[in-house]
Amino acid sequence: MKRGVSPVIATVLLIALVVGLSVIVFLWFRSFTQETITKFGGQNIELSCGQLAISAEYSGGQLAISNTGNVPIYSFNVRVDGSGGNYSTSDISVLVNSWPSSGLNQGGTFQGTMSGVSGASDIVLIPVLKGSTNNGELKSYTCSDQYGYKVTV
Amino acid sequence: MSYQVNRRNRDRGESRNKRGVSVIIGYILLVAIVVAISVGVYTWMKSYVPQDALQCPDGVSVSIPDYTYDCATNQLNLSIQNSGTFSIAGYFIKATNNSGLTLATIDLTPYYHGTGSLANNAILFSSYLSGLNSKDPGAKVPQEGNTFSIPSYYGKILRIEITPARYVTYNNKIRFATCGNAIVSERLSCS
Repeated sequence: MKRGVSPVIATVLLIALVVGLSVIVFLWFRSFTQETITKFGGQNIELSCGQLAISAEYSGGQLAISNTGNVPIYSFNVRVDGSGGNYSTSDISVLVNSWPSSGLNQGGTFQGTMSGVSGASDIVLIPVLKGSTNNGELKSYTCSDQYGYKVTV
Repeated sequence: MSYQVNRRNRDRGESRNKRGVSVIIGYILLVAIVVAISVGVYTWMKSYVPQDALQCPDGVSVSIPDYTYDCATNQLNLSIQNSGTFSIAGYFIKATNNSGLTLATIDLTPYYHGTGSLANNAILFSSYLSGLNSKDPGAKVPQEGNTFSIPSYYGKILRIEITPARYVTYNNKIRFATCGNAIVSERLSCS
């Protein structure tokens, strides 16, 4: 009794503690990481953002967009840049009428009346793509601002 | 005396055995941990390995040798020639009726009557979905093969844009690729 717990029990306790701590650390760390979304058979969707090719212009209240690449674009987040460094971001379906629900596929184009840009100096179209998760679930992914397309208004 | 010697020998033996086993287990654990971490990092990072982008080769090109545009009926007939060095499968055709916008956004595909077929919002030269690039370099589709009856509510069409497309092998699959670097534009005037 004076010698304390037996080596076997000590080892089991040690392993149980390590496993328990590992699980807790894993669950805690997982909340900091994004779920992997892939496209085109396993390519991370972040890489697809770099393969986008679009053209866009704004004139007389009309916004025109053309997908000239081979990556389908599901939607856009529109950053409206105002004076003095102010900006606001909205989904494109809020700012334009009749945005196609399926987005812009290969060769797809869009033209529609745009609101909410009065007083803005330019807008930035930030692409939103759709990919699949490890579970096969379809999820949208917003590309980072560096892949945005700037349009002067 | 004898008891002390036996105990010393036993202790030496035990401590020697303990050291030996712990070293082997240490190596096994080390290797196992390294292998497990490697597998984890590979699984996590493999999706970040860049692949070649789906794209057309640089030599793809089309031209519009002639066209007829009847402004009264809004009917457009145009011939298309493969003026590049690669065979092509079809094309996207867009039009604009807005003088303020340079981008053509009206898709003329739904109004197509011709010898080809429709797929992926594009017009294929082949009359069926063959998955083949059916127009070889230099081949031409005459005006009779490309007729568009454009609805009158669009008004006068000012300009059309044609983007060639071809089938390419990508990740061991045949995929339809837009050749966005080979867009041709034609300003229309009434015949």
